[in-house]
Amino acid sequence: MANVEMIVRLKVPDNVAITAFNTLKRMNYTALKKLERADYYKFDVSGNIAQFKEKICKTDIIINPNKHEYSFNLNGTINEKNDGKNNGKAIKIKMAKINLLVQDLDNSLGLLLTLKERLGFSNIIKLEKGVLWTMYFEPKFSPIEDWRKFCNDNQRTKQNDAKVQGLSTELIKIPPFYERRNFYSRDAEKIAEDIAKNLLMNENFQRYVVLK
Amino acid sequence: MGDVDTDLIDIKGMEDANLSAFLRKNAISLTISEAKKIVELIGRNPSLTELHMFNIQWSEHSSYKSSRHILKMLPTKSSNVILGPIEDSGIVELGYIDGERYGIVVSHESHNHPSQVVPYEGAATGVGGIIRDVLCMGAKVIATADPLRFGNPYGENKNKARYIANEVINGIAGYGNAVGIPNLAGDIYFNESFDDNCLVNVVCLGILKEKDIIHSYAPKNAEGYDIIIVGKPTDNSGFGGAAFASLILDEEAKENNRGAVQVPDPFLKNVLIRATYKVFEEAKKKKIALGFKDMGAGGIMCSTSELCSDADYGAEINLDKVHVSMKNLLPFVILCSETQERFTWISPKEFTPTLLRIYNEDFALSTIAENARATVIGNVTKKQDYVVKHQGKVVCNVPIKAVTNGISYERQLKKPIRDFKEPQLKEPLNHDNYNNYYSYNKIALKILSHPNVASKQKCYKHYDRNVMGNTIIESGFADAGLIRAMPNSKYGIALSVDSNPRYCRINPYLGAVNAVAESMRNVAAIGAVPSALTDCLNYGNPEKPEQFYDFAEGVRGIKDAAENIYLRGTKEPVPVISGNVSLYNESSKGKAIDPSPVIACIGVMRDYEKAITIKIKKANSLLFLAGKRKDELGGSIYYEINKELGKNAPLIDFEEQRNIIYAVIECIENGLLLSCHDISDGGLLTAIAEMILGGNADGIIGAEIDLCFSNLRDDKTLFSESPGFVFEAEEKNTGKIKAVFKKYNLEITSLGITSANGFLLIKNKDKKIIDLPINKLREAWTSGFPDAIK
Amino acid sequence: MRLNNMKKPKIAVMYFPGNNCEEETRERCIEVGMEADIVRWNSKEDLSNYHGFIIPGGFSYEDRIRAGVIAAKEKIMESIRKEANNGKLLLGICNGAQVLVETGMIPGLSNKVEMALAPNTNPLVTGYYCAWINIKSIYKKTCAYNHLYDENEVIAMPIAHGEGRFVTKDKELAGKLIKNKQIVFRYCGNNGNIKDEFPINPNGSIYNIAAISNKEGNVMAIMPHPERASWQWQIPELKKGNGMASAIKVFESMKNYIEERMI
Repeated sequence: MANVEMIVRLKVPDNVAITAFNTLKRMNYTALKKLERADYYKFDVSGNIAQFKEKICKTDIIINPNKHEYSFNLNGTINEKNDGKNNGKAIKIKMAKINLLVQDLDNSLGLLLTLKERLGFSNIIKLEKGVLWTMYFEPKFSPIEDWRKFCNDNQRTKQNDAKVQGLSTELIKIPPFYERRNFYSRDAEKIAEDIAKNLLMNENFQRYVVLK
Repeated sequence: MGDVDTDLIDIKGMEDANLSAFLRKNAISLTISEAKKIVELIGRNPSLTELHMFNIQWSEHSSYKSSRHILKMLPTKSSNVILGPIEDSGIVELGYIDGERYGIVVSHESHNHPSQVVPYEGAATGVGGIIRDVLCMGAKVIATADPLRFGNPYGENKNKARYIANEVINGIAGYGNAVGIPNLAGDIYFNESFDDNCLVNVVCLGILKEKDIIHSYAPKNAEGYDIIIVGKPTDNSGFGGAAFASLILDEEAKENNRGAVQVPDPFLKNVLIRATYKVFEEAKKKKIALGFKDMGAGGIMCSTSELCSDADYGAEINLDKVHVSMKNLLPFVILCSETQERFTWISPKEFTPTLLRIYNEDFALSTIAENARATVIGNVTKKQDYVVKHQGKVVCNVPIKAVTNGISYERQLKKPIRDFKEPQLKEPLNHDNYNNYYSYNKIALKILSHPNVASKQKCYKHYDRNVMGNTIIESGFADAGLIRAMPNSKYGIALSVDSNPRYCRINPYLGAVNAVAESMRNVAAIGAVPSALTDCLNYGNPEKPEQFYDFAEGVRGIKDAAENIYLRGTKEPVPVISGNVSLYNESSKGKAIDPSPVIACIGVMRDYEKAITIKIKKANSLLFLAGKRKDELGGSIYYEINKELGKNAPLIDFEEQRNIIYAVIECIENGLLLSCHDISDGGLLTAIAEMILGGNADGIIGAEIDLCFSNLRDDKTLFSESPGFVFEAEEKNTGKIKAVFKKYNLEITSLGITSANGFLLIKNKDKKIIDLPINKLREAWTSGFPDAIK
Repeated sequence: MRLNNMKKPKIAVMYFPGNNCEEETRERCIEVGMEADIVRWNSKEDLSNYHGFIIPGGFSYEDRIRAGVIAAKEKIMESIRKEANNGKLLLGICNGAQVLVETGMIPGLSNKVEMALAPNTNPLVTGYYCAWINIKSIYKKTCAYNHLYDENEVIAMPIAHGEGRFVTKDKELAGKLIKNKQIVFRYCGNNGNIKDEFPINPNGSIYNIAAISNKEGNVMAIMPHPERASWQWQIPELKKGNGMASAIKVFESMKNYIEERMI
């Protein structure tokens, strides 16, 4: 028995995700830079997992290869982008990525029945589904401005840190990668939950969970 | 001979083998001789853009090259025709309201091949396209219908058949419900000939005043007028898939293999329709004449060239002005792409700002769909050339008539050998043997639960049938749907669609005749007068002489039936005002579908209050039969459940059919009938059972029937599908009804009475044949279709 | 309701992109003697000129994310909310009802969204379902929309929706709504019996709720479509006539309510 997670996304433009993104922009969630949406399935499966995976991705009520792409892995590539150069070196900024799953409180049995009875998936014991929203957050200011502000606010601390770590004070002009990512991850999760409560789900018949 | 600034393809100089390879590599399906013909026509080698243009214009779908000369035989001109089948839609007269002549706009098309591949999108974009065809005549869109054919849900491809059926129904619902046009009629047939080729046909109705028609060609004095495209930004729709993978330069799109799927957007369409109605209003107010055309196959190229050519103008198009959603599209892709939800307008320059403002600002199209908008892309020219520019270079420059004239072939016909025989079936056992599988009772229930007979409520209930608030009779409640034409008027418009695949399998001519006759009987059964027909002709491969024979025979059948079942009160044919041909519906193994000439009949009622449904209204009223029962079970459901096809499909005597149709209508107009039902699939037994149940399967009044009037064996009487009607009337009206029928040289037969006993009882003198409680009828009739598609 | 120089009650029938019942909804308002305009979502006109607002049925914003939620976040809804807080009428039909629930204005007992219109539970058809049902008026004259109905009066109407099931997380809410007389219409059989089973309850709505008003009675969310059942000829298998049918009284009640309060 094992859990198989699968996400199915549209290859053609996803109008729901586009509208959601535009609405969130209007609602002043400026830190949100990109929004993707996918159908999420979690199968509780007995027997041969590899065989199941091969069969389920050919099931046309779940995936139509002409319009869908799928993955059994929630974490695709991290999204990086170039933000221009500083001192001749390119800076890569990691956007904080949050996977938020919205599910209806009563999981309808219709799909499970069809899979088991009509399509022969007798080895599916349980099925959960939902909508997976993948949100990418970035700070309000440009990375350079942001770092300068951060440095100004923490000028002395940074200099002390650098001395302690043996780094030249010149190098504090380029942000330590890991520190920025931690800073934004914390905030990003809070913003994502806020977005869920204010738009992506109605708690009277749905729930959300941040997937890690 | 016009010049272009890009390279020419040296068709003249290429050897055949090289030319063939070149065409294949570029996914051009023109034959070598067709390619050479282009050179002859335009006086030089073509550019790549011009080559793609002719590829589309000369495809079967756009040019009707195999079918054109056959279709010429159809009757398209009668005195009630306002516009025949030459523009985006046909228009037949509704009548006069407050002194103005109103027209019913009709269009009928197919979207078969896309629906087999991506059934949801194929069906949805089919509905989207047909709505545009009606809208583009300047009409208010008021109803749709969907005749559908799917594979065998119990056969070897049952999973695929069920998947496609469900997705098609979802696609039609998803599109029509969101746009807000009610579904008024439709039918569904299942059989194995559609296993690899489903049929998704769609019909759309609109209404307008004759004086408000906007034509599919440029108005008078259009020289210098703007050519404006409206709607979704252009992408590479129609140029996707492996064939064009090498041509896609936009990396992101290449990964997604866009262009393989046509993307429906009913949300954008909903807004486009309302914005377009505002344009109609403004143009009327300012007395501006416009040209308006849908963009379907061939996209910008087809719509702009036809708009101008059909009015003897030329056009100049600048592809750089076209709003796109993908970067670096090649010029022939921008020009010919099939991106959905787009139209083309021809507008005088002084009206253009108003038109653009309505779409771009009042209805803020760009907020509805990314980069959707209205934009000027060219102008109408006096010189009848079709000139297209891209990044400052002329990529196409040919005489416009060469673009729009198309080509025509006379395909070979060869009559296929059909050697069918009538089976010798054992007579079923009578009602005493209730539990025997071969009793009349059991067979009746089997017929009622057959997916091709059973109630389609589960399908209809996915469709919004009363949005717009005009629906009077919904799908399933009567043989035709009925809709109110206009507020403040009692005119009703009726619609029915028909075509029996198994009759056509036996005899394609006779099957087509039956389709026309049945569609007209269905309209008559509610009391509406048949006014016009449309046809969607779905057949196999026209390059195979035997399959092309079936196509030609089908058209001949429609012609004969339309010409001989006259318009009421005249000797004119019922005109065929719109239509479509879909060929190459054959599997990869070369097996063609059952010949499928799908007919829609449009009817008119002066007073919709007179309309009646199939449901029995009272106990102790009389039931009558019009239309003799004959030994004509070929293609019947009774034979099908016995795994036979048979040979004797119903014959149609045109004079008798004419008379019976108009007699029934006259009776209904005079208020003499309580309910009425056409006899078709499943025969007399089914007609009576359905009258007992009613469209919502909630009937409680039963019937007692005596078959002594017939000299056929009882099963043939009950299950033969010879044309006819069953109707219910109060005893006091019997004399008047008989008098009406006598006027038409016909007699009616007493079947029996309706009764409050809760049963369907059928006997022949003393022999009890069928004894079924209504609950059993209901169970069989309501479970047949859900069981077939779950 | 202080509107200068207004002789007839005037209604704004809203059009959000994707609504599709606005024309016939407007027709009904006019047929009962009110004036009515169709007002687009991006209109800049002064809404205080209207006595009431109707958000009609359809698929505003294609039901993206959730039916009604995007329209609920539109700027114009803030202005409409202000007008409703000033006592103007606000009726949400089908998709309009979903919009009102997503703004929290229905049931309107706090500032939060306290209910949802969730996907139907229906043994016959999954998803969107279009059928004729019956509802009954629970009270007489408790809000702007039941002035002309008797208690227990049965009315035929069609539904056409995929998300019509009123639900709530708050177990006490139904009790509060009953106490406040906010449950205006409930699904019933054609003899008036209320049974919580299909097909009498077509979508699994708690307590067979078909329509809820706010406490003040000027705002109501109704899932069935009164504009499609206002005339006898619109109703299936009814002896066809040209008279009005019971559902028109929803609109007549609105006119009545406004006229009683006009200064």
